[in-house]
Amino acid sequence: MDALGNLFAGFAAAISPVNLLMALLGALLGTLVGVLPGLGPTSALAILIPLTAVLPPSAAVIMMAGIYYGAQYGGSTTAILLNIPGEVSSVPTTLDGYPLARQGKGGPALGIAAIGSFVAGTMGLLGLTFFAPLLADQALRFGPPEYFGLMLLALTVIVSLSGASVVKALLVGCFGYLLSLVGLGPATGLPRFNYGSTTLYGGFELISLVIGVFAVSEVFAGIEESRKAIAPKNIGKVLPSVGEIRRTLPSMGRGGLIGFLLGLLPGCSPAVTTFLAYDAEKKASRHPERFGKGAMEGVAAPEAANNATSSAGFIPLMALGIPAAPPLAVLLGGLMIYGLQPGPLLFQQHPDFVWTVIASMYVGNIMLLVLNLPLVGLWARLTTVPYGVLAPVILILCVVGSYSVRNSLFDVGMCLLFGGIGYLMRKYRWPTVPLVLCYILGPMLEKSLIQSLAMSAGSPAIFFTRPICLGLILAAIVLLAVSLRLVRTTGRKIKAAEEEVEATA
Amino acid sequence: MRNRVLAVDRVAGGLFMLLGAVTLAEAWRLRPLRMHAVVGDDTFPTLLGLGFLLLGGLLAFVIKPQEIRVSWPKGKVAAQMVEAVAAMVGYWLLLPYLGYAISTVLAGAGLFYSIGRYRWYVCLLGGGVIALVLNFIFVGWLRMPFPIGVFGF
Repeated sequence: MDALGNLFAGFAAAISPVNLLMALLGALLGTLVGVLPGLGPTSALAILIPLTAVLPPSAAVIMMAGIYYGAQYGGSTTAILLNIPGEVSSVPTTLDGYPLARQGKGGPALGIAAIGSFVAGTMGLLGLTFFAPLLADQALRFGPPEYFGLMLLALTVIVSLSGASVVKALLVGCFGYLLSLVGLGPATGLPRFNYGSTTLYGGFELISLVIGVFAVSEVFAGIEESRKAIAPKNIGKVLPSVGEIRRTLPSMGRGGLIGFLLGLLPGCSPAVTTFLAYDAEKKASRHPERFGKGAMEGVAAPEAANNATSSAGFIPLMALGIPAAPPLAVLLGGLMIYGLQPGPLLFQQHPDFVWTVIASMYVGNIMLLVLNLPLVGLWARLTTVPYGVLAPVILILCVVGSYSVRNSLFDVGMCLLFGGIGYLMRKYRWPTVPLVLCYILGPMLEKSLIQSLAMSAGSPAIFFTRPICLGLILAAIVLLAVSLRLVRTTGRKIKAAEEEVEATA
Repeated sequence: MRNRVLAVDRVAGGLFMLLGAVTLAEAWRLRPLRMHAVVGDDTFPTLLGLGFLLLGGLLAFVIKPQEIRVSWPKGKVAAQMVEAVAAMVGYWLLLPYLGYAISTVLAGAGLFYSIGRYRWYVCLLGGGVIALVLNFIFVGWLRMPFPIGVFGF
């Protein structure tokens, strides 16, 4: 029961005034980000990382983690009240949440979403508490070939997030790897891909890349769509009845379990698990005909899956250093800025930090439930802020945020350039997530490859003669096949649900 | 009417093949600088370059292009987007000369006008408020050194 002992020690640090304030701020900012259009958790984290520079690492990560899981909840508010899903993962919530709002039960639906998120989030955190250290212990046996196998496993994230085209996803991923090579070579320390420019000695800055690709391009997409402010319907009372809670508890449990187990797999993002959870709930129900017309279970299950997947994503991040979703990739980048390398050594070298963050996530989960329910009216009113006010603020923040990391105007220029590239990629339906994920994983992949080949005098057989490495490569192949199948199956459902949402808008 | 979009995937494939050639050229330049006999800073670029050539070739010559209808903004919306881009680029270019405060006010005003089409005094007020709030956060609280330009603030 080392994990429990460490967790309690973590709680002692997590309930310090600064850390509590950061958890609260993170949860509130995250919900705000989830409610407002034009700024997802990935861009928000990227913009806010420079702000956290003055904080100690644990306080900064506590706030960033709060933003991540807060945003998952915030997306459900607009999904239920306005039929506008904040993220793809909130689309299943609209299917029953919006009909409930039209029946005057928007408040209880929001309450069920919050309670379901809390229950499943807690399940995910319990998994994080006990699984992550076990996984980290095993990963300590890894050498460079095993890390290479691990990076290949992470590549399944890329393919799974590819949407329609695997080749395009791989090309974009390779482009991300290429961008990560610009700068000084790891073996010689000599410049690569700089073509005589001393500015490029430092390479491209991750924050600029993320802000450009996600935030700037999203804002321009919003301008193009001429997004308007929308006034939500009257919410009424927010607390669901005891009967409603009792009826939906099994749905929360099922959704949470699906979200957690599948969320451990690289490639199974909340967008996939929420659909699977909704589908499973409909199949398990004695009255499936109620789904799509205002079934509380249809809100409880996907929201539970959403939060459970978010928590589960921290397990590969903390234990192996593999980000399972774009916001976690930014969080990884943030940790590296603080000189902390997520992975098995993080548990060994910085156990206080790790357990403080994990403990604070329990606290943040409670804060989300306790604070957001009374504030739901405020969150709903935020959707009335005109896009003509919101967009300029976000764009200015993008410039300031990208400048502030290295005090470099070059980074601002790159932010704008990547914003243009991101916009074009959206237009032509090229996936953008592989670019960021591969940019972050590129240096680790290269380092493990070079070290492995140096160990084996250039023979690639080293990757197939070491059992753990071979196991990881085989697991990558199996998970790739499973993830592809899951995404293809749910991709059709996602498309159908999005069309249904647009039709009822 | 032939859908010109069908050619986009092929063009993209060709561009990636070109990128592959550039990557391999850089890998070739780095090869003599190896410190080990077997691997060096050229290893990963070599693999990437080959990957670009292979995948780009697949996209350009083998795989059937996806039929994606792309609609570009027109009229008022296009004007708004062009103006917003101009405001952002102008902000980037003017920051070192006008300094953070003035350039943020101007850029903010430009963006409020281009996106929201508010009256000029509302735009200037909005730009001023943004500049003030961000100055308080980044310069006052976080002590970040923002450009001061020729006017010294």
